Amino acid sequence: MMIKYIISRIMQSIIVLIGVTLVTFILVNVVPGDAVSLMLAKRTDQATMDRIRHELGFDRPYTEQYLRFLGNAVRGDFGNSYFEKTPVTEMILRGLKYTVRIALWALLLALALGLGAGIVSAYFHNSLLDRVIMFFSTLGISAPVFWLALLFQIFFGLKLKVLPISGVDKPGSFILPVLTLGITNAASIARISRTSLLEIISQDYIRTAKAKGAGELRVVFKHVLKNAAIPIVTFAGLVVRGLLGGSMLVETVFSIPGFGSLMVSSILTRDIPLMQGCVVYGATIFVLINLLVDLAYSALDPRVRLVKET
Amino acid sequence: MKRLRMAIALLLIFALAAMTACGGAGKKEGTKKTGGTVTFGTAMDQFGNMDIHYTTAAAPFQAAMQMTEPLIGKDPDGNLFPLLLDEMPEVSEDGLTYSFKLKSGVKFHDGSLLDSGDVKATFEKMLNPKNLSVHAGSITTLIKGAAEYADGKADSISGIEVKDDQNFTITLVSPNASFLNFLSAWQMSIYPAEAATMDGWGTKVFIGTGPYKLKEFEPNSKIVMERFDDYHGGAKKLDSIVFQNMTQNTALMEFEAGNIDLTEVKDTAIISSYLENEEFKDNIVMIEQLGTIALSFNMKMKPFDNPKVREAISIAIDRETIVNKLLKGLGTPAKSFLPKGVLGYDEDLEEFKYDPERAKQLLKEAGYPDGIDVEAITTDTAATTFILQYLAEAFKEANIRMTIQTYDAAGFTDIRNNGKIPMFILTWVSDVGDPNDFMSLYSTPMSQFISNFYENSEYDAQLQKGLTETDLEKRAELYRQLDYKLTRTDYACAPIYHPNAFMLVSKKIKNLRMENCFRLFDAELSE
Repeated sequence: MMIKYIISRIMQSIIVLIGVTLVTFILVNVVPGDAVSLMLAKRTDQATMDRIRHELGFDRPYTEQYLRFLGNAVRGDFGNSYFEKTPVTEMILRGLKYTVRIALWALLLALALGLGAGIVSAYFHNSLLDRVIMFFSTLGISAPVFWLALLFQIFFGLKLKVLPISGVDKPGSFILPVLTLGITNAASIARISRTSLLEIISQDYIRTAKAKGAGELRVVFKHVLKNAAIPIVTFAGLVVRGLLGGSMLVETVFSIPGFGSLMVSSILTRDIPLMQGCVVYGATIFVLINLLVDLAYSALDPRVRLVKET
Repeated sequence: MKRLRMAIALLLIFALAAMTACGGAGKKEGTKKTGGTVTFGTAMDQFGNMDIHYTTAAAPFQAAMQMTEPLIGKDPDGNLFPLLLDEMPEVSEDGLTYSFKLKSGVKFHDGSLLDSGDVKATFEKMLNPKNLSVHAGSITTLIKGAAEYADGKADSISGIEVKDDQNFTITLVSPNASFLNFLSAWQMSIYPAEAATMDGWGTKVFIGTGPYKLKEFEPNSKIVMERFDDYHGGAKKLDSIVFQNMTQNTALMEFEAGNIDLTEVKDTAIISSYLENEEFKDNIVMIEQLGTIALSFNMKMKPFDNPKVREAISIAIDRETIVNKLLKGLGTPAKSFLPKGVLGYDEDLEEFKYDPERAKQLLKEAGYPDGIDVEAITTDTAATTFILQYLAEAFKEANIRMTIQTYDAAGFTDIRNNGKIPMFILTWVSDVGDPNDFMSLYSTPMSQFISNFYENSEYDAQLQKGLTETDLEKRAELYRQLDYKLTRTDYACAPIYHPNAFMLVSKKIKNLRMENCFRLFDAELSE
């Protein structure tokens, strides 16, 4: 049963991805900003532009260009970047190396801080401690990522001089980007987990468990957390996607040559192969995360699986 | 309460462990050597490849200047000198053929010797459309047989003839007085002949004859260059030069923290705030640029098709106020398109007179008694948008109502190349420094690439004369006249000011002159 569900979800994902390649191709050809004229800046004649257009296949019919792009994309081949002259896949993997590393640590930090604060807040709800935590989490949610990044740079890098301001090759380079992304997301997780925990705590079966004499920790971890997990997992999925999106800002501010900054510069320079590669790889990652979240639901709550199957 | 404290302590330990684990993975910094390292913080988001045949972006050029060299060099005062040559080339009577003799014993970073074949191969690499070189267009119209080679109709460029390892000739399509200036532009740097076929050229391998050689390159992120001890001009002093990618804001913080040694500052407000800052005012270094900022019109669009309208706009610009108030004196008001320092600049020409009343009168004469509504276009990253914003207000004095549309750079270039921009601020900084590099921008059909469409056969004919005139005095006069025609008779553009570049430079760096070339290679460090 589970396998059937997984297969149907994978099929859906493939259809989504094909749709993404089509939309990407259309967008790339619709947005103003011709790659060739941009590449040649101010200094060329029509003949040179035509020569390069021909070389890149821009003078071929759109259907032919799309089918060629799709055929190559299936094999993971997006061609070479116009400017770097390196295979796009190689460039994306190089960028992801940084982005994934930062995103994973930021997720871990967000979950640890967020869940921890959420649990403490829910457990001592309406106390002074709860209010202080909720105050800081509101602050964390409201703070724009790039603003927080700048504050950290000024405080830890320029004033205290304890951490590198930017770059990736000095010891501790990743601490500030991870902190920036982690803290903003921790704040949201703290609020979500507090709310869902409070809802569960007031349920009858928790009272029953307590009445039966189960220890506090056992009640929290076995009964409360398990049942509050669904909204938290949903949100964690969102956080991962947010981390990949937020990485664009953080990577720019901290000068990290990651996937986000690669994508931004590909769009700004209309480096079409790189742009297409970034969108398709990005979409694949998002689709995979959605798939994982859905599978996690069905593992956590069998009702999800049953509903989908009927 | 005890449990709470325990939980918080555990969380803190977890967070700290996460921090140290991900921080510890970074590389350790190397120990400082005697000659030292200069680190330059700059935007490298368009620095995916070191080969400047593919780009016009600043940072790759600045790095290439440390590693590669063109045949002819240009000193800080703008004088040409033989760089990879024994002496300046000899020109034939008809002004078409240049004979070159390479300096002997010039080594590439891989130890091989520079020869005439490398020169020819470099030109061919640039012209081959498969290589997508952005500079090919300028050569196809210049060197004999170049266009045929680029079109695949010839196996080699007939105009470049290799005589022996050290001697070669270049024959031009027509005489061109700016040819040697053109050869001194950094994109004309000579690569080894193998560059065209080398795997990973520009990303993993990059070889030139320059004083520094490539040590490490991470595209869009970092480049490390180390001293080339066999440099034909004698080994330089610094051990290494590092370019590190960062945004302007980050670069300022890194500079203030002492982590980088220099960075360019583009924002006028930031430059003047540093000039007023006791701690950093001596760190600001001005570099004179050969360039002009001008309002450029689309002469095919109404109302700019009327010369009186263009004249009205030109005299409605208060250049003094722009330079003194907006730029805080960090530029020079323009009275011509050619800047000071370029042949043909007219020292005695009177300044443009700011006269909004006469502008109104001119608009009336042009058939616009109620004034005009115009649109200017700019990009989201343009450093000159604040000038447009000021002008939009100031122009109201002269009954010129201007709106501003903003596009991203790619969208802007597209519209400009399609000839659809009504008016924009042109920033023209020359890497060649020859008057032809400025004035040919308004020739036919070049002017269509800046959405300008100035067409004047007399102008074009005189421009052609300027290219063949070898007498400097006469040549200067030709360009003086061209400039006058462009900016005072036909008003094809309205020059506003001549910009300067500003760098924040660490006080320990000595011998840094960056006019005409980014001479980091000449820098020395003092403790």
